[in-house]
Amino acid sequence: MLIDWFTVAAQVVNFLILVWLLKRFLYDRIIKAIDQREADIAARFEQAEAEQDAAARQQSELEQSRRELEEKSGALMTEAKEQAEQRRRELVNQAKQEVEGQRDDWREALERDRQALAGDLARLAGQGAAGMARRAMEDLAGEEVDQRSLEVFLDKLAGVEGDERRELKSALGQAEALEVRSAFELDERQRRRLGQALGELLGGEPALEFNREAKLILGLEVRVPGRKLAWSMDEYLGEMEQQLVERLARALNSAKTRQGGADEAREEPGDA
Amino acid sequence: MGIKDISPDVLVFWSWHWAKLNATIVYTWIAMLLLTLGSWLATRNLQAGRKLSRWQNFLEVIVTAMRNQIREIAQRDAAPFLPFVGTLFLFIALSNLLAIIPGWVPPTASLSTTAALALVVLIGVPIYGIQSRGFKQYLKLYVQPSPIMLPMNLLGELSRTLALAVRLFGNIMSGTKIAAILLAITPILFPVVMQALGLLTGMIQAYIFAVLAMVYIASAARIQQEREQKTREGALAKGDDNG
Repeated sequence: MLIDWFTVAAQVVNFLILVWLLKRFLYDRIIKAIDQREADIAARFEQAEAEQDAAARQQSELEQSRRELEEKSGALMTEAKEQAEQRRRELVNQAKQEVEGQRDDWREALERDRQALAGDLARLAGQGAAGMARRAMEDLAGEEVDQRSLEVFLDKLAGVEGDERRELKSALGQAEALEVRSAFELDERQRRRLGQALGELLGGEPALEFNREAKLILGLEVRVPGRKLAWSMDEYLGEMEQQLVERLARALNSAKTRQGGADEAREEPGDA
Repeated sequence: MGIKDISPDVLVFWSWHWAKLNATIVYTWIAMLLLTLGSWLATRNLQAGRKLSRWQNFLEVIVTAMRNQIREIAQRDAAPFLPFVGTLFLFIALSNLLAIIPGWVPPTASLSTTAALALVVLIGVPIYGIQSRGFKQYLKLYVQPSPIMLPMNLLGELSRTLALAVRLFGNIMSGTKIAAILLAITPILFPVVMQALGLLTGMIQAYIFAVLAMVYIASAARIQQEREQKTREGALAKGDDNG
């Protein structure tokens, strides 16, 4: 017979033993090693994915930080530019104001100097003219002129009326004597006429005290306490000097006004 | 020379009453020893890391290929079937492969060995079937589609097991014997060619035997997969209804 049943049984047993042996020494070990490797690879993949995720997160965070930093720096730069521009404008305005102030100060100073100079010039001119007139009048002084001066003074005394006359009378009541100053020496007759005129004006016979005053050009003056009656060329000359000064000042002011208009006209195109 | 004389069973080294130690058993032991020793040597220092020894790599390739093949046939996890089916393949393949050694007679050239392997498959199929389906469900297979088919089913079970045994025996025995005959007639050229052809045939037979065994086991154990399939179909139908 082809089949030996003892051999068949032995082969069955052999096969089962071989299954057990190979399971123990081959399949289990190999599969365990493969599973371990797969687990290791899976763990490595997971770790790599986790690291990749972490790297991506970190990259995202860094990108976010970079963007924020750029935005911040941009904002700071804009703010700094605005501040710098504002500061520049302030400094320019300040400088303009300072320059304007200095120019105003300078103009004021210049105006003051000019006015002072104009005043000085006017005064000097007036004084010069008056001085020349005064010297001319002094040179022309003589008995006839002195007599004429007295006549004019007496006419003036005669012309005093009303309140002025009452005020002079009350002032005279407080004085012991009237001081009469004259630019020339009065003779006896002239003194008498002056005494009569004053007596008519003030009432009674006032005591008179005559003094010579060279400064009074061709003139006379009567002094009572708080009041003075005078006539002299000096008044005319002073009035002339004052008029001269005023006219010169007006002339200089009008010249300055014209100059200022011309300056403004010149500045306008530049400001535009 | 009768057909009985060409079986390695006839070469008896030792006997005692009904027990005897013939070439089939001895060569089987040698193959077992080689497989076990090789496995032990190769798996002594297994590395779970990325650096593998060549032997470990070789064994991993074989085991992985067997696992994938089993998974494809069974359509489920290969772990329960791997020791049984894998050992069938490795034992038959090594036995046939060693035929290139002069004087080696493959144990698979013995009808006793192939019958034993077929018997193991015959027993293994219901065991796996009962494990997967349960006892009643498995027994129901034999009365499908109707109880009248019970004898036919039993006959089919036996006949396919017999075919399994005879196919392997016929192929291996014939190849071995043709090579031996040709060696006697034309000592040099033809025996080498036939030997090479015999190796190829032996490998193919090992593969076919293992695959068929797996197919039988898978068909017996398919109930679980059918349930899962039904469950999936039911879920899909529900999804469609809801959709």
